[in-house]
Amino acid sequence: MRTRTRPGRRPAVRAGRIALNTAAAAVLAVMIFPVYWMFATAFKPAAEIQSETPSLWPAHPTLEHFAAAVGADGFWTFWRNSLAVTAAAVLLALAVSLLSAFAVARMRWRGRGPFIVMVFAAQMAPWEALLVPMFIIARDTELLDSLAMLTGVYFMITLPFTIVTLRGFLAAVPAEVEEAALVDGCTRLAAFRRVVFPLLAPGLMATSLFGFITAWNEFAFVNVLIIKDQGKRTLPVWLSSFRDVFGTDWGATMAAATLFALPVLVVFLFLQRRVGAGMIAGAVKG
Amino acid sequence: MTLILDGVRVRQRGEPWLDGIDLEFPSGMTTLIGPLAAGKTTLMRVAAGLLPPTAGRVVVNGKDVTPVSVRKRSVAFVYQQFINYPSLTVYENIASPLRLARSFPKEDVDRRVREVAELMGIGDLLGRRPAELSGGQQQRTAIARALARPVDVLLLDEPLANLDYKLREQLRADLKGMFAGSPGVVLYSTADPAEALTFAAPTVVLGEGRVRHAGDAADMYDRPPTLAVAATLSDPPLNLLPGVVRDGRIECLGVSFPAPGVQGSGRRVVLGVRPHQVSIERTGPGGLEFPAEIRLAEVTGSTTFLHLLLPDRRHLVAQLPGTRLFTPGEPAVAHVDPAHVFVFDEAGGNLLATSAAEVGPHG
Repeated sequence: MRTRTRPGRRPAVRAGRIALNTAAAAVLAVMIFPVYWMFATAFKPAAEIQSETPSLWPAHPTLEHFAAAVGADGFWTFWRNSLAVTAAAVLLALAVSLLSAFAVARMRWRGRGPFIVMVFAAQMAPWEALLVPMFIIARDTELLDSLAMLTGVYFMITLPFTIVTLRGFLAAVPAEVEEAALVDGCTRLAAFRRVVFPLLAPGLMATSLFGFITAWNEFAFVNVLIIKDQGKRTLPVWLSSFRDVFGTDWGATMAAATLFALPVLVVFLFLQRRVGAGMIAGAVKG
Repeated sequence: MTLILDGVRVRQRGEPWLDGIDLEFPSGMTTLIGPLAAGKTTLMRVAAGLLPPTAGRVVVNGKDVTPVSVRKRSVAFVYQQFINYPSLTVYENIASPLRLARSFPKEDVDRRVREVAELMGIGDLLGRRPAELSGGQQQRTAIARALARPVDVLLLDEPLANLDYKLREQLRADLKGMFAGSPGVVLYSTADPAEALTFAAPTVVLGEGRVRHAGDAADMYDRPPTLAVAATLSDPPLNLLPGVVRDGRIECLGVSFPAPGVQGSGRRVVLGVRPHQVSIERTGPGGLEFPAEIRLAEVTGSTTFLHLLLPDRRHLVAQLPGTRLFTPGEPAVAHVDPAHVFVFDEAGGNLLATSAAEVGPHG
């Protein structure tokens, strides 16, 4: 394969590559344009946004919309709520799923098969189907308008995926590697921490990334479970009500949306490099 | 230093994996040889403490260690798959058992790591991670890790089996002699007769979870006490032919030869002939001649393996020196000197005679 990708080898191959690259560029443009438009609009002055002839980039970039968004009522509260709920749910899911994945991948116990099937089944169920049951549970346990309930829900919806993914990563580490550490004199826990845990880094990165994106962006549950106490809302709900907050101030809306999207992008960029590097460093050969 | 396996049995999922193993291993090296599923790995795992036996005891230096967990024992294990810690460098891999051993002085770790790395020829790879090494280098790292800390029991479970031919030869030469004067017990398992014969250490032949025989590898090769031992120690595989004892002679596929030592007229026997004892040229007077048809010639360079089909559709392989070309389908005559035929009892598999003229111990 490698020799065939050398440039200028054969016209047919070259033409094929140009076509593929063009297609890739087109797909990328379609996917990135809305995001770009959000960014660009956030930096355009109001006059430019309202203009009849849209401009592709801000001619006179301004930060006034960001000031308006950040200064808006409750922005920092919602931001903090979002972050707290997301972080708590992700950490909780990682801790629980690491233990479950270990039990499923490494230990033999009665009910192991059904447990795995149940985890898969739970992952299949559409979240929207759980809106009403969750509402009823929250109402009956007096957990409506509570960030703890929200954390619990996000923990619940990310857990199955996290268990399944980590189980795969764990199963890829030969049991002998762990055994070798026992032979060296490690306790079972130390063996796990010293030799297995570093190999799970890519899996932990991937699952926490998934958990972060899921919880950070989640809208339906927070909309149903936080009904009275506006101070307990998270960014997605706040953003959905931007019309009330900002009137028709599209610039401020887009600035708020940018600020909302930013953490996810940062976390993703930070983690995806680690995921890639971890996969190379942790490769088990033979 | 001694390791004793006393009445060790292992049953897994209702299957006997090891049955009634009574063995005493002295200091230095012992080779365990057996075919696939003979119980070599199970025996080693029991000896290490990685697998508790269903019954029996493991005794090291007079102390019953059966209930002692593996991490509290003085053992090292090298796996057939190249098992190292993927996230650690070669240096840290080798240092790991030293750092974990409380009795090992911290200031000696560096010196010891470099020493064993040098011994295994990986001194210049200490900064790399296992994934950046070739298979041979990975296994050298694993062996260095096992050698780093002096242990009572060192177990090497087919360490060369997953290496390609050249690396295997090289590492085998390096390992030969390394364990001879070892104060601890070294168990080395293999399925390759060449390894057992090269190491020339006391050898235990395992098969189907039992001890087939124990003794000197070369003796067992020359005079295999049973068909199973002969088969285990023969590579390329032993040719087997059916025979019947009749009036002091053995009849086999239409030919017969005198075997005065084998008694019992009508007794069924199995004749074992190593491929290099089969020729297609007349070797001398009194040779057995089997008309055959050439099926296939495998040329390895220094040797040609000629696959022959005998009249009753039995296969016979002849190992001929040099590169020889044959045409499949053509007739040939297989010559076998009865002096190089092992005669086994068909019922029990015991050796009756190492050659047709000799009286077997169970004859």
